[in-house]
Amino acid sequence: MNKRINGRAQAFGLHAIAATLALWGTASVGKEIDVGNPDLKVRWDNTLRYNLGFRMENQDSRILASNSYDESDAKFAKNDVVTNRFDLLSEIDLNYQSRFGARVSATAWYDNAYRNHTVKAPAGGVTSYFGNEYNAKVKRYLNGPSGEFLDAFVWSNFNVGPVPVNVKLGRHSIVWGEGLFLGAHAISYSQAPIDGQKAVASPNIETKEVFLPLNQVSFKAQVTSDLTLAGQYFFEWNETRAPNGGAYLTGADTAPNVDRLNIAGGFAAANVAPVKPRQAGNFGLSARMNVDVINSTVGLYYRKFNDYNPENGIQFRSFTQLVPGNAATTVPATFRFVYPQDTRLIGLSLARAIGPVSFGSEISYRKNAALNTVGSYVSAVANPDTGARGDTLHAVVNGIYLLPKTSLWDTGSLTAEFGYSRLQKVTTNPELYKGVGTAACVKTGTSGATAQPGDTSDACSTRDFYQVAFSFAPQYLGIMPSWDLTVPIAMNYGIKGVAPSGSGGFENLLTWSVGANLVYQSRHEFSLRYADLSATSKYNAAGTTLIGGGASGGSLGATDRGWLVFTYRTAF
Amino acid sequence: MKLHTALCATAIAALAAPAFAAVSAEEARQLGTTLTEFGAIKAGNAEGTIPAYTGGYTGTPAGFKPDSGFWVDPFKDDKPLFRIDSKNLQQYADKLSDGQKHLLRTYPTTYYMDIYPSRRSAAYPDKMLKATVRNATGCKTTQDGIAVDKACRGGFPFPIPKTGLEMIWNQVLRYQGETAITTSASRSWVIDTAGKPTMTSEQSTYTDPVWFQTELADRDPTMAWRVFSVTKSPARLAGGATGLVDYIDPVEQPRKAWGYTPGQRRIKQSPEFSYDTPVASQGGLTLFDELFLVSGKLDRFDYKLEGRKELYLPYNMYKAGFDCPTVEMALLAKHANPVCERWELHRAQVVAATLKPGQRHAYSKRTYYLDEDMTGAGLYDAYDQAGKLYRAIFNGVYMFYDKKLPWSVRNVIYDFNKGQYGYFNDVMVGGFKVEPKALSERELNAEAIVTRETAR
Repeated sequence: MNKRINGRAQAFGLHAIAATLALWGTASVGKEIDVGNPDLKVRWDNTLRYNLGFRMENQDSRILASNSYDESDAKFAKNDVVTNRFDLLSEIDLNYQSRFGARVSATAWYDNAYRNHTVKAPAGGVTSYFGNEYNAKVKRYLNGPSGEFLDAFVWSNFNVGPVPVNVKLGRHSIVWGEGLFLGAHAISYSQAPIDGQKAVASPNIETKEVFLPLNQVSFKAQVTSDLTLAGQYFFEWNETRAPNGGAYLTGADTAPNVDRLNIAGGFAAANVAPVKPRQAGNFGLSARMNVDVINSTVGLYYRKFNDYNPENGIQFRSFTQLVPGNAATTVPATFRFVYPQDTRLIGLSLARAIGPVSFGSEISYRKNAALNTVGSYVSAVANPDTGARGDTLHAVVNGIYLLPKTSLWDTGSLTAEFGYSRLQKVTTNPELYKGVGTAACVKTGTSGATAQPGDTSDACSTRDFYQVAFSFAPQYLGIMPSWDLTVPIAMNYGIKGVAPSGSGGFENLLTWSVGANLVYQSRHEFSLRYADLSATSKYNAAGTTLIGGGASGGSLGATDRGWLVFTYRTAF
Repeated sequence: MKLHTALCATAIAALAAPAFAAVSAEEARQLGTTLTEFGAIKAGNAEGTIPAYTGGYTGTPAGFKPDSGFWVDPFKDDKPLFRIDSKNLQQYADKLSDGQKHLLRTYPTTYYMDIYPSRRSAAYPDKMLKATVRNATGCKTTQDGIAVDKACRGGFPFPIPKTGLEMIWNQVLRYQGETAITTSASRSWVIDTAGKPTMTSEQSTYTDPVWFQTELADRDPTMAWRVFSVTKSPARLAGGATGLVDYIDPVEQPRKAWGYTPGQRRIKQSPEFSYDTPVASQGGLTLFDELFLVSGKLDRFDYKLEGRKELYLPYNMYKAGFDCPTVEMALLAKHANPVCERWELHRAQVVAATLKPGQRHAYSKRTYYLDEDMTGAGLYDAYDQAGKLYRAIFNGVYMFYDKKLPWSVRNVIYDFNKGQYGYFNDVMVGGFKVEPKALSERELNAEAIVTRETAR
């Protein structure tokens, strides 16, 4: 009986959806607004996205038992709704005679799954938040309702002699190079801060919503028919939004927005102001050239930047004695995150089509880049405001192949990217560099006098690192009247080694997703996606508690978060 | 010196000439006498149902506003001569394509074709015609017929085609003016099996006819044509841009394509859009190699020229193009509204293409019926591997009479396999603009295009 009612309710639900869609039917959408002046074009678009996600995996008791990873895991149990979120993106473009224009975009969100702000630490100890509740910042990003402006800039097109020039001023973001998936090794690394919280929680999100625009001036000049020069200078610096501690898809409890770090016996160290650079000063220059003899586009890049991503290790700043007067009870009282400054990058890119494949490749050299630094450390004496730094080499090669029609699919795409990075040298605070063979590389579960050397399974960096990512998305057009289906399968895997850069990739770390994406009338997008990850994890001798392993805490603590998410998206 | 080079080139070309009989000087002399300069039979037909060619329509109809984007129908007072429908189609079967017959039989109550007096309205500028006459004896294909010599730029390459490929090249390199043709809102519609229309894309477009831009010093003479478009709708793809460049020797220089998506914020070279890959933005109804009837590398089929045939072509379709509101009127459930269409009897060059042994393609056979007046108008039937009619395209033409420029991009494609159809390059909103001046090579660089055309 109950079942029947349910069935009818579902049928009614589907009916209601169909009726709504029919109403929307062929109405004009995504529009240019007529302002009565043919020289002035005004466009206003809105994108609405709704996500409903469920936890599909049981909580792993070994993660729940671990002080460092328990809070995010404890937030939701199997079958719980882990996201129930609306996102609205609104974009307005003004264009006067293609000579002057402006663009403003803003976003708003609300996630009902996070209406409860409580954080629990089942492994014991204190949680990462005062009062065991998300702080205001975290509440805002996870739960909302809230919103913010993204783009806000003016632009102009003009000619200098025969050379067309474009200048943009204000908040915007730019991406250079050919990299697609492995952003940590691309020329565009840290070219803009990222909204990591939104990125992990919203499948099918577009880059334009993930990048956090910053105030800058940028230009592009078409010097010859084949040579394009571009540059950007930033007036503003802001940090990447790392996924928040205590949120479903976060592995580690500790993240830049937390209040404190559990130490021992109910005592926690406070998260104090991070090491941040000044606002202005990041800049970059690029030259791109079509070279007909090799049928390629070649690019040359130079960037100097204060990193938007924090170092992977935290710094202890001050100490206290749990038992006053007893030096043996000394523990950290405060800690901070560090944003590495003054990294320089020189890069070379090459793109060309070879037969049916569009190839892109990049090689870049970073000087004074952040390296894999021990998880927590005491500020070095000589260079107190940074972890380990050094020079690294990065390369990515990718290919996009448009699937030809076969009996298995109508069309679609196969995109693959291979990444490589290499440590050239450690230049600053070498004692903090967590590389295989260094003192900082310790086997998980050993410490102090009995510490044993670690290896890649302990997230110690190797000189060379290899990674691969791909996305395979066969497409089926018109499977029902006005419905197109895509079945995207994506994977990202650390083949060998651990990247010398902090959080640059880990051996055997695998993230994957399988989905189905239905588009109705090119406008209404419904998708279902299952995503999970696996990593080399290490447990205590009893096998009851996660104590570390061959990846960052963000991954190690999230191996039991297989989730299914339904997304509806439309633009109007 | 120049003459010497030309002679040399001719001599070399003659040596490399394929087994087909080249056009003799005597035959070429027919151009301008019994044939038009562009190679059509000047005379009408014996029945008088096709008139003689008298220079095309170059008048100015009442109410025409130059550069308004729209062209008034100079033949709007014409009355249909008769109607072909499912009942009398046998009587006209020899003048109908398989696609037309299939529609008439399948939708007997709603589909018909009103036949209007034939108006050979195509007119071309003298300069282009001179270059065409020059090409009659001098122009050769290369690479086994799938490439054409850049020395033939500026005119139709083969006014007296001797092979199927030569006629196909005439279609690919049809006249598109010397500057550029733009739209502010070129729309693509897919009408699903339930009869529901979806606008799959609305784009602003820019077509650059490099083959005819002989006076622009900055152009690469090995380019055939190029086009770029900026997506305005659907909103989720708005601000994206794509570009496509085809070369006259696709063996030496394959098609180049690029794409920009606001999602990626970067220009990427696109993988080869070619052969039987469906165009997703057109709902998969069109394959890349049947855009504008034929496009891309011609190496997978054998093309046989079967001579001229009288057929009813979508001609002088001013009403369908400029005076038939798309959603309200043009799009019926199973086919375009016959009320808006105009069919005229014209001679077409018939090219039969057969898949080469060992090659792979969704089609085994395709037949092109291309207007002998070289406007680009035509009919097209494509057959699946079992030899069954799969798709048909009706590509219509109207003349930009003030510019001496026939324009033939608006087409209807029927997928008989799925029972749905597409309606493409609809410019009911915004119309076309023949630009006074082409953009410079600098301005046509992909980076410059994207930076100028989209702030997303």
